[in-house]
Amino acid sequence: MDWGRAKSVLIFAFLLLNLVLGYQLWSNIREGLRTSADVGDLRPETQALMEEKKIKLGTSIPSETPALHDLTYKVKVGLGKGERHELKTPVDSKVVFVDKELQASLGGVIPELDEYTLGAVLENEFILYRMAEGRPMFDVKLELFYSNQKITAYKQDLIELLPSDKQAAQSVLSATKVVTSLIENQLKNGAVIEEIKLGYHGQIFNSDTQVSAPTWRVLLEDGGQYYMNAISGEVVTE
Amino acid sequence: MDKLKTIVLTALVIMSLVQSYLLAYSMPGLGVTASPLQPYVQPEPMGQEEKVENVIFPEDMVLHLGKGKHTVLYPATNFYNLIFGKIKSREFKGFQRSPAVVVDWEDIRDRDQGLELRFGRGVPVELLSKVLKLEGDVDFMNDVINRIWIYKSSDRDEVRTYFFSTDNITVYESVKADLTAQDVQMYVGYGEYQVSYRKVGDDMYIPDGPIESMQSTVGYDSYSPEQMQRYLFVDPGVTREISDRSGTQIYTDGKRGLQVEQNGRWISYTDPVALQGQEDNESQNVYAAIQFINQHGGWDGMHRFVHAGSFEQSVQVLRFQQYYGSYPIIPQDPFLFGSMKLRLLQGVVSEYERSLLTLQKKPQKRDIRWLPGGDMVENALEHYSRRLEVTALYPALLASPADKNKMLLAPVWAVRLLDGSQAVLLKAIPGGYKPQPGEPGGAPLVKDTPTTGSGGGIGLTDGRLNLPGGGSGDAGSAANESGGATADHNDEGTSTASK
Repeated sequence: MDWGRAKSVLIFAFLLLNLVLGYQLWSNIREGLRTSADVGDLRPETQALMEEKKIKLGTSIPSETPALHDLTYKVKVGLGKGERHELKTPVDSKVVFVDKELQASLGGVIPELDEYTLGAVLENEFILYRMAEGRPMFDVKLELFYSNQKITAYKQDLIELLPSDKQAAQSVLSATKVVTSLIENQLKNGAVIEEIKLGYHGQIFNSDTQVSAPTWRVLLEDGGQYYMNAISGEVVTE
Repeated sequence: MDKLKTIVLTALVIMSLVQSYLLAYSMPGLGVTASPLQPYVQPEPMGQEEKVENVIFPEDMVLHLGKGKHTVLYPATNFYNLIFGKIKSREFKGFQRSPAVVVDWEDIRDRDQGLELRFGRGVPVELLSKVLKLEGDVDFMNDVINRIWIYKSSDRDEVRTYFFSTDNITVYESVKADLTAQDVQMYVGYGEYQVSYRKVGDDMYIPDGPIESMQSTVGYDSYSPEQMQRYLFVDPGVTREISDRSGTQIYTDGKRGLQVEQNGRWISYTDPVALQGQEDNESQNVYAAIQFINQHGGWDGMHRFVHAGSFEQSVQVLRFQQYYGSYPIIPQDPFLFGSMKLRLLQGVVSEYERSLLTLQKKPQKRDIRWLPGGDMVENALEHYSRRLEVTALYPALLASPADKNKMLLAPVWAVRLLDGSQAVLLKAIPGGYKPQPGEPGGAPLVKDTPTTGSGGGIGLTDGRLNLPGGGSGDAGSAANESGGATADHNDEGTSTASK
């Protein structure tokens, strides 16, 4: 028996095996690192349905599934009931896009400004959401009104996050599942999905304390909004 | 060379093992997201279940005796049950659509013997067909009707049956109804010995004399908010309790909300749902609502489905009116009681309001109270501040909390306004006193020798005393228990007027 030959054959075989495993591992890691997916990652049936209902995806699908838990917070200035404050010296509206400049120009005027991050740009206003653990709370807003490229006034919901109790965090549903469910059950023909974002949302009560649950928010091009509870998968429109 | 090969081979074998391990344990999708769910507890059933057939019945029945005489029967009274039971066994077929104006209803009302089954704000025909045997075309089945009028034409000996649409323009005649002239005569005959009523305004009937009713003090049991919470939340373990600015308790899991008001006596549950862009089907919503109530708290006694009649953005509000005996219960502001309200979107409940109290079957105390009749009611109605909005007049029970775990149900004359809200028009005569003929709220004075039978016949209008309408006083204090309170305890709200 020629041990040398046998070893060569075995080396060759294991080399091939290692290559195959290595490729698998590499593509898995790449999958994990990638923060978004697109239409091609949906199930073929869903894609067929999208074609049939002429639903388009105008954005990528986030692929993160972090573990989150409910938020409980105390409302200091009523949600949506805040007063409109006029700025004494209007500020250039460009600053809103750069955090540092925003801090420098309005940080002294608007309380807790560093807790808010730009969420949407409308015709006359910027909407900033209060962030909690790096994710937006869709119910708690800071509105910056602008005209002629100057920010002239603001309206703010002020809250205080309460420490969450022992309740354990749970992994959220993946955005692909959310999109699939929406396409299959909710979206009308011709809908265009514009944004998919993970944040917090809850039913608002006439109360000082509110609860927000991890929620995927899906925005449509026509202004439609869907909130899907990221734990239970229940859908709400507003 | 051989040594090198050995080393390379060993290295390759180890590497393949390591890679296999990594692949196996880091595969996305293999990681199961275990959720720390509370153990599921099957809640004990609460309340009784109900079927759609039992929540659809006429609000009242008007019997036309001919010669301008009328009388009204209320639910759960003997004659009402008898007539409705018989109508339920008849078949109505061959519906023909026509404008309502082709028949002179005023004429028929006073001249021809007949009966009207009135459904208040209306009932969808599709639902009504679960109670009555109806066979009609799609147009008819999709309509909402508020009245069935069956009469015996006086010139010919034939029975005509009309279903009135809520649009007030259309009627449907059932040309193949298996009702005979004898049937109608028999039904009308039941009204011979009842208090006679006269028509005022638009389809409102006022009794000529006082009608007997019962003021009851009823004990109640109460569900706890925690019990309700177990029924309404998928996972009660993750709900949080917060409290309202006014001290109301709120349970929420971030999506659903359960607000407990009135010291734990009333709940209002909200569960936002997604619009699916489909048409709302009221009948389907009613089925879904009944099913939902069956599973979430059940029914406390008899309820009547009340058609909302307004479609705002495909959202539908349904109401179930609670009855005690023959009369609907209306709450005395700010007390909340007497009806369940639901909002449904395509068969999914998004709002649910109800009381947590359940009335005991047997009242702890009952006293006779006479509801005034005649001019006193008519005057009160004429001088009512929102007279133009009044669409119906009927006896009801005004519910207000009494001592501990007791509720007082006091008979009143109630009106329903255009928007569907109910209000008290006139309270009962205090102290169980029965107004005599000629007194406020009593039967009209009779000049000639009174005929036996009904209290207040025809042609007596000139003999009436004209009395102010506001002399009713307060029915609340039952201090002077005068005579009459020891009369027989019959279960009917109305009784024959005795002279």
